[in-house]
Amino acid sequence: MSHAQTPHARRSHPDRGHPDTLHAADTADGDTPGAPAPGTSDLGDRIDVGLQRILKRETRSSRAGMAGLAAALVIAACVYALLESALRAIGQPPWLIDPQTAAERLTALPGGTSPLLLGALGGVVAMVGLIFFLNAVLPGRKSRHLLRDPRAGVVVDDEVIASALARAARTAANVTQEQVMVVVSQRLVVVNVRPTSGVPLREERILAAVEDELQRMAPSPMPSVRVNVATSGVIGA
Amino acid sequence: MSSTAEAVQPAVSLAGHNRISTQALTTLAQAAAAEALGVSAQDVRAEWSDDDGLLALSIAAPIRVPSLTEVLRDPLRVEGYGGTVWDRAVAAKTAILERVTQLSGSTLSRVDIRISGARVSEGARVQ
Amino acid sequence: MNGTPHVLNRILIGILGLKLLAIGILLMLLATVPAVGRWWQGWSTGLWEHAKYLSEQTRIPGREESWLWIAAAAVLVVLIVLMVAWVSQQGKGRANLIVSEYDDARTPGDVNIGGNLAEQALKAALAERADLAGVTVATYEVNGRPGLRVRVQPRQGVSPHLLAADVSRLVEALDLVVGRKTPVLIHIGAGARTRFSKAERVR
Repeated sequence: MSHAQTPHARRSHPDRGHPDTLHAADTADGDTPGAPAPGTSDLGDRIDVGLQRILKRETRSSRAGMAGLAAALVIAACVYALLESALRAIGQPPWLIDPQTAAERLTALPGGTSPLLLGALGGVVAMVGLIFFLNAVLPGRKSRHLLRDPRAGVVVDDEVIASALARAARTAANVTQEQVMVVVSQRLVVVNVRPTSGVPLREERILAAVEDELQRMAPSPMPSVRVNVATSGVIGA
Repeated sequence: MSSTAEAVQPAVSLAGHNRISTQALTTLAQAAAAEALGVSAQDVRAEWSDDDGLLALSIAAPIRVPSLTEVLRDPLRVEGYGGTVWDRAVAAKTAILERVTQLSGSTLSRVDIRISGARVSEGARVQ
Repeated sequence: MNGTPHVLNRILIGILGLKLLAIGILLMLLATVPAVGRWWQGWSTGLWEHAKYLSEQTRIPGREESWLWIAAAAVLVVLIVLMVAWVSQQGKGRANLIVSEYDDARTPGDVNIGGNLAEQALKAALAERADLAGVTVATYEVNGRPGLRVRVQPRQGVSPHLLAADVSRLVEALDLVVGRKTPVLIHIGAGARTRFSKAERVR
């Protein structure tokens, strides 16, 4: 399998400033006739800052799903505790275990229970806790990129970028859609091409086409490109 | 112009007073708003409220706007419709107030207007 | 673009995660290391005795229970309420108005422009395009300021920067029409629909 690595692995764009900040700067008010009401120049700056924050939020996971799960767990535990307390308070037999007995059994641990069960339970609880904790701590970047635009904040799913780059690649390689697969991640684009049997491919052409399209797109953060041409080809495509 | 609810002034002035029914006032306000915004009167919702003894009107209606692709081609199209939505809404307030006052004699203290939607039109509108 | 509290979510999830992790590790240690078991039995029995002593001290006059139970129940209820409030904060932020001002230049009264105006205008302009599988426009309120989110789902192979530029121009046209600039977020997304649409009808 041949690898076509881009000659410069990381491209930096010093003229564009920090690659991760985008400026949705307001258009010059003088350009457009019937421009919005006066006094929007500072509003434009506020729009800018607000949009920056919105764009930052759009690229991270909000953890809303996990939050709902966590809240549901806590609510369930509280409701159960309230239930048992209430049952005891009105003198009814407990549903699963009454608070007094539970406290006594807890203090007697690990006496009353089999260590295997205890260990397994502990393992499960610890894993759930770890999942929650990692969810909270890991950045949770969404597979998206930001584009530059003077008026609006633009966020693009990586699949759309991959689809556009795949089109550029297959046009340059003169192959069909099924022969090209593009994988886009935060900082790397991998283009996998299976050539048509008997028709050799020039990797440089594909690389140039994909990089050209990527330059036009100017996503942030700008990924580097790698082209992989498969050794086996597709017959008669 | 639909018939107003105002009584015709008789040659001899008689004792008594005129009151315009709420329904008539509403129809009046709807018609005035519809004309100011370029939509049909049945799209307009009018609500009356008391503003410390004075009459206040609240209008919710869509507004006729050019299609955005047309505006891209010819930005001056916006002028042809009477200006920006904001300007037209502000002007509509005055137009509605004057029309209602003129035809019914009731004085409004304020007119609140809410543009609830767009009636996007393709054709040319010349004013 | 909504008001989901990202930071609060992570903090609370982290706290819960740490607590569960600690409990789980404790249970595993109790099951495996006898020294931990002995320490635990001593410590927790002491705690339990202290709790029983406290409940003796805090009896409700005339009854044999202590009011600590009620206090504990109240705390649990408060916790439930807080959790429900937390869940309700997720996904907030939809709004109705993009402009809301009071104007009394000539006639006093509020002038409100509903988000529906922008939604319908943008959708109508984007409906003419053949290279989109879906368009959604929604109004939000972010930090007290209105905002629009335009979500477009292009077909396979559409160049996102060209599409974004087109939508941005339409938004600028909207600015001209409305007379006010609203912050706009354009989300070019890959919905489920785009996977099954034809790849040929693109630019």
